[in-house]
Amino acid sequence: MNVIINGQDYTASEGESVLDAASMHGISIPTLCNYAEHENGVCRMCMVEIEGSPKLVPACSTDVKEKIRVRTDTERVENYRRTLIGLYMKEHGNHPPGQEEKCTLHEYASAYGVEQHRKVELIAAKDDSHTAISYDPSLCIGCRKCLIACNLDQNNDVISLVGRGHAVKIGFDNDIPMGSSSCTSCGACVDACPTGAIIEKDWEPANRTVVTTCPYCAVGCQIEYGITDDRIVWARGIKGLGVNDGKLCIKGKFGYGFEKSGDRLVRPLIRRGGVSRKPLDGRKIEEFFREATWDEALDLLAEKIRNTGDKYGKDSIAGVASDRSTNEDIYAFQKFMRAAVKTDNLDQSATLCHSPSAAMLSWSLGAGASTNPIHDVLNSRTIMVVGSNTDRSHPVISAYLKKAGKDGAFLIVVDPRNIELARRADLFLQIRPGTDVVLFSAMARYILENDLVDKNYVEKYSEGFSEYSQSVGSFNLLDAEDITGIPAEKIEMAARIYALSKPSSIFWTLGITEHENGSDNVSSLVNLAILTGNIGIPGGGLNPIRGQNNVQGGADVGGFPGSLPGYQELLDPLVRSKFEKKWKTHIPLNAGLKSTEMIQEALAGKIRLMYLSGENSIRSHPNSSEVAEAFQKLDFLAVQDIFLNETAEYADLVLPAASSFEQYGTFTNTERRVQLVRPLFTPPGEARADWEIYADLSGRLGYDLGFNDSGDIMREISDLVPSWKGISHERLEKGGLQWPVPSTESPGTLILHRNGALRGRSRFRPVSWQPKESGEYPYVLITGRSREHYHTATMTSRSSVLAAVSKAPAIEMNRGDMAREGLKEGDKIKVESPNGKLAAEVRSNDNLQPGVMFTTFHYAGLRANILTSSTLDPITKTPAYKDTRVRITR
Amino acid sequence: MTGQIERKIIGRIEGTNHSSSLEDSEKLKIADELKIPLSVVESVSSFYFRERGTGTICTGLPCYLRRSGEDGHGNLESSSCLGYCDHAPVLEKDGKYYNAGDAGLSEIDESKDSFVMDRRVGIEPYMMGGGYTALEELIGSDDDSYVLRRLEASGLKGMGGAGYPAHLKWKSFRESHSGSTYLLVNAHEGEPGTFKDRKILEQNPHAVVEGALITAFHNGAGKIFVALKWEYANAYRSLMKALDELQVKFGEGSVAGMLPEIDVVRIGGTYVTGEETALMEALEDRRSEPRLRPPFPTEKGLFGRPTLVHNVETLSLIPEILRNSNALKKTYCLTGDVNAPGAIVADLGISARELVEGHGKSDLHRIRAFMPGGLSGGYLPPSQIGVKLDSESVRKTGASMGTGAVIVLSGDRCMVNIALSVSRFFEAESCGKCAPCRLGTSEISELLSRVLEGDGSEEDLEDGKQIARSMIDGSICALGQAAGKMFLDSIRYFEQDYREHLAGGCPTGECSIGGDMG
Repeated sequence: MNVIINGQDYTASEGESVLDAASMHGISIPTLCNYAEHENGVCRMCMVEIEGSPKLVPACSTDVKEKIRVRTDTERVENYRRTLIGLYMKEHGNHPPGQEEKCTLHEYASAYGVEQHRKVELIAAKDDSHTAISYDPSLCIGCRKCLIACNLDQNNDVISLVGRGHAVKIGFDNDIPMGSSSCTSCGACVDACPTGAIIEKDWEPANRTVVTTCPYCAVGCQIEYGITDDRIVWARGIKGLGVNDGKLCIKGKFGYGFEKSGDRLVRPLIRRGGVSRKPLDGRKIEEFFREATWDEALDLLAEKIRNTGDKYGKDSIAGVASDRSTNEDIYAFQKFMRAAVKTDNLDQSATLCHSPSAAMLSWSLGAGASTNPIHDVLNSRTIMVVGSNTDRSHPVISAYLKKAGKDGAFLIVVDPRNIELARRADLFLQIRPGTDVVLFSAMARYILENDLVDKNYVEKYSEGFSEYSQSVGSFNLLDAEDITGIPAEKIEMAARIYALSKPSSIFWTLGITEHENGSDNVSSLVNLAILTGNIGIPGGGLNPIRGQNNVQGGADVGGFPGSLPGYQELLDPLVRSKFEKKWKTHIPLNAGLKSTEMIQEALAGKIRLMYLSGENSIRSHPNSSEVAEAFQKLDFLAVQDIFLNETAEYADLVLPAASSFEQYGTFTNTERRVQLVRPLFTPPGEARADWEIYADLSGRLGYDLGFNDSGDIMREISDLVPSWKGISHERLEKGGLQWPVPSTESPGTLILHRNGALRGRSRFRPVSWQPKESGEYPYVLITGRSREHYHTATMTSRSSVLAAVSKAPAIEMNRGDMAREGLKEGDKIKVESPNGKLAAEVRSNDNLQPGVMFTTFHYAGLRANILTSSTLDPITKTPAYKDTRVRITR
Repeated sequence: MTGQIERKIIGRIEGTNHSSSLEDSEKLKIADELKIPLSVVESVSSFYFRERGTGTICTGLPCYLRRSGEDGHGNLESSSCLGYCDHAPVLEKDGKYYNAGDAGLSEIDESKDSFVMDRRVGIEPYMMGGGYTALEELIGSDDDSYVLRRLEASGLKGMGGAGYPAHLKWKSFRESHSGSTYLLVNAHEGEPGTFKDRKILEQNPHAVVEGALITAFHNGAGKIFVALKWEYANAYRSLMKALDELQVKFGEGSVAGMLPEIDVVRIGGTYVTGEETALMEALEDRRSEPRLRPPFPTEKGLFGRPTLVHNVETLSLIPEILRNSNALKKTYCLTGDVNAPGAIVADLGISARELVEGHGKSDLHRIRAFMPGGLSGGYLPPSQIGVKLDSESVRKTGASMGTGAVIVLSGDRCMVNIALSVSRFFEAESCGKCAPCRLGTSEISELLSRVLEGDGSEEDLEDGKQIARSMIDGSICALGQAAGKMFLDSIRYFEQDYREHLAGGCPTGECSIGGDMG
């Protein structure tokens, strides 16, 4: 439609506010409280004149109409604004030095020639209780953007309005200091605040900014970093950009600093002669290693690879790439292993986490990935979240789940722990660890018996129904209640609502996969979705929330054994010939080993050389002592990383890599969205991008990977992988793309399996369940994550804010269990499993059910994986981190 | 016939001890039990709560005008209006209301529940006088077009302040809506000088009930909510008794099945809570702050449904209008410097002169000014005393009739002082949502204090005018707009008072600086 602003004709769209329409055409109307997609309208700065209206109207909450005549610059409007700015300024305090730049009010005041004419020096004391954020009430102008950010956007619901009238102010929870409140440190209030009343304590203006993909988890948030003097000075989300739409979590907002840590690896290191492979244990790096040139280091590795291959066969060599690396890096890695080293013994981190999800989704539907985009949860009427402490591990996805719940979706949470999300749930099923198959099969039986099956979907789009329906026959509600500990009527309710109140979506993380029967757990969920036709529809779907920023991409580009890029089977002759032709060489004839199997084979003396890139296996693999033993048995261990982590301490050769802040490439997030990673800095010292190292090394083995930059790699991927055909760095500059992207015209694919599964028919997979014997180990130990740390904390522990907010490591127990064991808060206990023993402090946590313990695996001071077992899921070789049987000894 | 809406948080807050703000432990308990964030409990409870001492002193203008010095009645909190303005000065202790005049405390008769319950018009006498026949006629008629005709002929306009013709409101509402809609009865009276709705509910509740039922029935509203000011305990009793009586009378009959449910909800809060959208927020268990418009309540009101909002008095007039088309009777509230304050039922359009002189028994020569519409309708000089008190006539003078609360100010009043009292009222009752009102009311009070104390400047007045204009232009609801208008009116009509204060004196000698002048 046409609108007339200040006498000029402009176009605007239906439903747009006058403020947005004006701003689209570069006419700026001052505003202090405008918040995208949320009506606010309290600052009253944006009042304009509209022909036919005797009153001024707020541009933010007035929709455009055809031929509407708006004046933003009349004397009346200008006088009004000047007066209002004057009113604001009278109560506006002093900014800390250098931070006035962040204040929009000051900007307006100087534009309107309003002098600061303060009534009061300081209205209220500053709240400096938070580690990284300060709140100065004297700078607050009551715009309420922080409330929207915290309560409606992030749905953390921490910020309150205290009192009313002139004295109204914002508070945290029940008006307690921010630092003691339930604040999750997501920083949304900081990013929303127009005056800097709530601000990063160390905020300073940036000289330049870079937008890139967050270096942490697979949500794939887009972050703008402010950079001054070659260091990050702040980070923020940008409304309208990326899946996070401006939202971040504590790691995205504050989890930087590691990249400039003084202990970054900056030169290759070679183990000194005569020093055996063991932990540094406080000794100096120089005692174990000497610095080397790249030439010397890569020559050494090339020679070891050549010699080991010649002596023990190519399959005595194995490599693991990190899913913290870019798609380009991992693609280069698998090509290097397959084409230059000539082994398929290569893997990524997924084996330790979501492999069962990827494998079983692929088996049943034809794609090992989440089916629906994150935002689509807002279309769900029922949401079932299983084994996912989303609020801690994926806070930004949690924001959407919580929003969907507030907007009326029925939220079912299944977890052994009474997690934060459970408090928000309409139905919380506190399940006994390891009994998921029983719960979901009992739900399936109930759905079958009560005729709640989506017959049309099952008939038209599925296969294996009769075998499956027989297989769930043994799971009745009462037995399920006994086994899972969930009352039968709750199971029944979950089944009814999931089947009837559609569309229903399922989200899960490692509470499902990290079990001895992780694959069966996943299949029991997939089966439910097929049974009720919740696949291929908006608001439905099966969504494993991936962990690492590029764990989806790592698998997509072929970073695991038996699968060439794009999930094209290594053993398929047509596929092989396509790749051999492109790569101009032969590729291995047999599928290789998973990373957990590599450890076993190293112990058995069959794997002789390992090349680990960004994998802190000593800390992240189960049964740490076994892993150490395996590394000690190797002929040669090469580790490539950004820090000398605990695994690198065992290495014969350490190669310094660039972090994702220092290179160009792509990550693929949990919803299959390929997004650009842009460099903020050049790599420190002599550190190099992973792919450059592989390319150099490959050349020394006599094979040219053929890449001069990461663009070359992406071009090769899109050439060889049909579902990436339409992806290029150039297109990604305009925003991420969700695969499949079959052509350069394709906008990507939001929802998979529409009108039937990608593989043809959705395939039921019957599952069974056996109880696990506890024997002399009466407790179940679950490992997991805290909000502020990430995995083995190599990055997060080097970020000052994250390190400061984190609590000391402890083993958490229910208070009843503690009383029974005669334990007090903070007592030292020894926890023992068949695999090892460790000492730790005990901390009470009544969110745990009796008989269940919890700890994180972040801390070097509490290496939980000393206890975990190397028993694996038989299909994907994923360890049972979530179900370690332990006992307490003294 | 009654149903209950769940106001989980406010209900809990009102159910707790009213003596001070909620304890933190209580907030945690509410959050836990209701599974809601602690921040929500804080936001809501801190809005509705006010600190309470051993009692409350009314600081509304009518009480202020009659108060002489400190009372010495203990640790009293103040309230902007207790609703007994014709008994000024008023004080509340332990739920009882007193006239706190020079002679000491004397309990106000009409505030006693027995007094109210003994004198209220019960259903039998109400029906003897023709009550509920209009409702029955409407239910029984095939053609209800007569309703709008009679309404239009009566000239009934909203008595809550806006003065919009009722028949137009109904016509457009019924034409534009189907499906589930609500009638909201606004019984959250709170402007100093206004107490008519309390009296009507106490004395003649069935007229309100019948009017509400007719309105809901005719307009297809499926449910009636009566939002009643928390402090009006007797009005609540009287109204609830009326509903009981109605239940007994019609409970099993065919009529009952056709009538919408009536839900009476008692609501605390502030003056601004009586703003119709703020009232909806309160009913929805949130802070009682006015909403942005559009959307208007008739499109998206209570719980997101189209909602027709009417004032108590407006509804109480409807049965009578439908029974016969006699001239409308309006309840005027007369307070201030008059000899006989009170609620006066008179023909709509009675002149201010007749009201003040005839009913108020006051000497017109001693009047300095009067407010034709309470604290938000503006001031008028004595020269306008002939104005007819209907919304149209008053509007022509530049003021507005509001709820029909006439406050008279005598010749010895310092108008700067009055302006400050008015401004303090708006400052105290502002919800704080929008900046012009939150900041402006406080700023105007401050500069008026300066002027009053002889520290004001010409610049203060100019600033004040700018601020007042920005409040009129920028405030979300009528509270902030009225606050601005009252300041501008005061300067316009009483400029001399301001001039003299700037020069260091008070023309009336009422202010302390007036004393200095000797």
